[in-house]
Amino acid sequence: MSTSKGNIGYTTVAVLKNLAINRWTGIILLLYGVFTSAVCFSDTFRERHIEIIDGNIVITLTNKYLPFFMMAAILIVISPLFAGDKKIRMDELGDTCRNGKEHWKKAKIFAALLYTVSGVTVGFIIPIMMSSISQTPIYFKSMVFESANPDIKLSTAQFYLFSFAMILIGMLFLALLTSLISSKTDESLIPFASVGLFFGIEAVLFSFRTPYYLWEINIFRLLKPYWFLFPSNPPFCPAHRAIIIVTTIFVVISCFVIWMLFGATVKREA
Amino acid sequence: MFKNEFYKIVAKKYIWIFVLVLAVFYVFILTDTKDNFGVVYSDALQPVFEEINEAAYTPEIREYIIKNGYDIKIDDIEHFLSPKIAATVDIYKGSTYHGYDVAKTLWEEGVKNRIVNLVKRNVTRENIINQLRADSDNPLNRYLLKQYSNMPKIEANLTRWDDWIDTNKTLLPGMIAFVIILSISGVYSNEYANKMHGILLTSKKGRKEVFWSKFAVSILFSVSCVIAFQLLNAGILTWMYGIPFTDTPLNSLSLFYKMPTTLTAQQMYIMQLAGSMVGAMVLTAVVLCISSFCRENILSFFISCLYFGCGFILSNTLEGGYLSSLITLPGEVSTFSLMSLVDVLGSGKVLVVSDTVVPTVLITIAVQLCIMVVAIALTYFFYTRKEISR
Repeated sequence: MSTSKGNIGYTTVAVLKNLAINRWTGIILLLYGVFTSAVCFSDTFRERHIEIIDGNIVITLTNKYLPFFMMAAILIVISPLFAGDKKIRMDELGDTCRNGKEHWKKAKIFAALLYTVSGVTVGFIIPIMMSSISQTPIYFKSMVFESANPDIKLSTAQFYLFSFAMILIGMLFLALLTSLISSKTDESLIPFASVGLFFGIEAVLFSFRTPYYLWEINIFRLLKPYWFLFPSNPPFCPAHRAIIIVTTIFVVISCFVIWMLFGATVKREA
Repeated sequence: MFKNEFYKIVAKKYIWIFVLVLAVFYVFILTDTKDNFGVVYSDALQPVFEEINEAAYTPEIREYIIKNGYDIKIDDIEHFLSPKIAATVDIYKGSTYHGYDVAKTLWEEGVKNRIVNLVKRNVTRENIINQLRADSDNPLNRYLLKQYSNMPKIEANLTRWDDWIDTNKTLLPGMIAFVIILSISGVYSNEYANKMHGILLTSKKGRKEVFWSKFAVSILFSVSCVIAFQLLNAGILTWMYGIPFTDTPLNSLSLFYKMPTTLTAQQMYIMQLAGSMVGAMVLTAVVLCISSFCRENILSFFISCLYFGCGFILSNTLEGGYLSSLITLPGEVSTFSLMSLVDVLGSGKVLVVSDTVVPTVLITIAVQLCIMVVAIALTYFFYTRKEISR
């Protein structure tokens, strides 16, 4: 990658570096590490506080707890991405630059997306690593949820990849949504509270399981992907169809959000 | 100054948008069950409430139900029942609801199940009392024996108090807390961000007067918020189920079945309203305290959410039973617990400390009041200290 100034890659790396060295990234990563270690190394903690899914610690950590840590990181770190600059009028500086605001905005969006991808990757690496060190079984070759008779039969390794993809799609959607709201306001609290509220409402709908279609088309279906393996009611059955419908919906909405993010810039530039 | 500070909170448009979104969501989620047999015909058996209760306490019916292991047909006991019950159910003869015969469902699920459940609950209570009498004499057993013996006569669960109390269990306290945290978290931290904090030192009365106005206004806002959401909740419930036609012992409700409580449903609901109000005040004091040492609004909001969220999660994951322990106590003494009261008060929870049985709700109230006092003192200290640099 060229490091010459004015290159979008250079700006993206600079913004990404800022996001990565944000103290909250460190704090949340540390908390996730401590929590993962406690689950992997302490039998007492695991027995008392954790409900293990399918007898697999890595699946439990990634499908049940990782989304909440990632969500906290996205909310705290990405919320001020645009709003923080607007608050101190730093965004106006873009008007004086050769490449204008569009270049700067694109770099920020790319950085937010890269930050999310890195976060989810690290979120998967930590439990696998901890599980290996603590010698708790990872069961790479055995089938997942075999006793529960799932609609889709996957080996554990395949399921890890599937979970990674689904959680990543969900998290990218949330990161884009946070960025979009952040770009429309000068108050960092608004994207934080809005996406937090959206997350909360989705959690309530997911736990109430009512109304049915809002349970199916729910962000938690992506963030807790093991639910996808089991059959649902029409039109969300068989399980493959549910995966296609739900991921398509969220990918399309994400594309729309990206279009809104870039569209707004172009309009203002014009 | 008071007016000005209040205006500062309510003038933020985004707060109203959030309140509106939450209210719409709440109406949506609550009314989603409106098209349900139990809701549509919730008042069908109301005229024969007394007759159903009498039937469950009729020795012949009771003996017959127990003898048959609670598995009976309504025809078996019909001749013992008051003719008024049959007449009331007959009103619905010929009506169908989503393919169900209304009169038949009312007989089977409405009348029979309620009589059988009432008998079963009374037998369970008697068994618990007998077991406690047979068990060794210790403070906990003495306390439980007293509670179960003094319990009012259990009635059929026909009053809909279940729904009125259940709505205050998790969702409503969570929503009220969200609005309070969102609105109050910036009260002091915004001043640091706007550099008003330092400028105030140049005024005649310094920051002290502003402190008390901000505090009073925040409390007023929180109380208004609780009243607004509770009115919304009561409005929706009245529209769906109507106002409960009579008071009933808390033990008659499925939520509190077998719990050692002597309260009635009405008392519980009133206490929930009071708990919601006091809990909101404590939460306001804590949020103000957090706001007074945070330089950024977002940080203050996040820490406040963590404070309430931890109590919420702990209280909801460790509930169950009537015995408190050191593991369940952190959730039980939380602000959320005070705003909900279902777990600590409704379940009649107690903590055994050496040879003394202490109702957990008293510990919750004491801890929350202490937190409130400490929070106010810390806020005052953080806000009025003569530090102006960032």
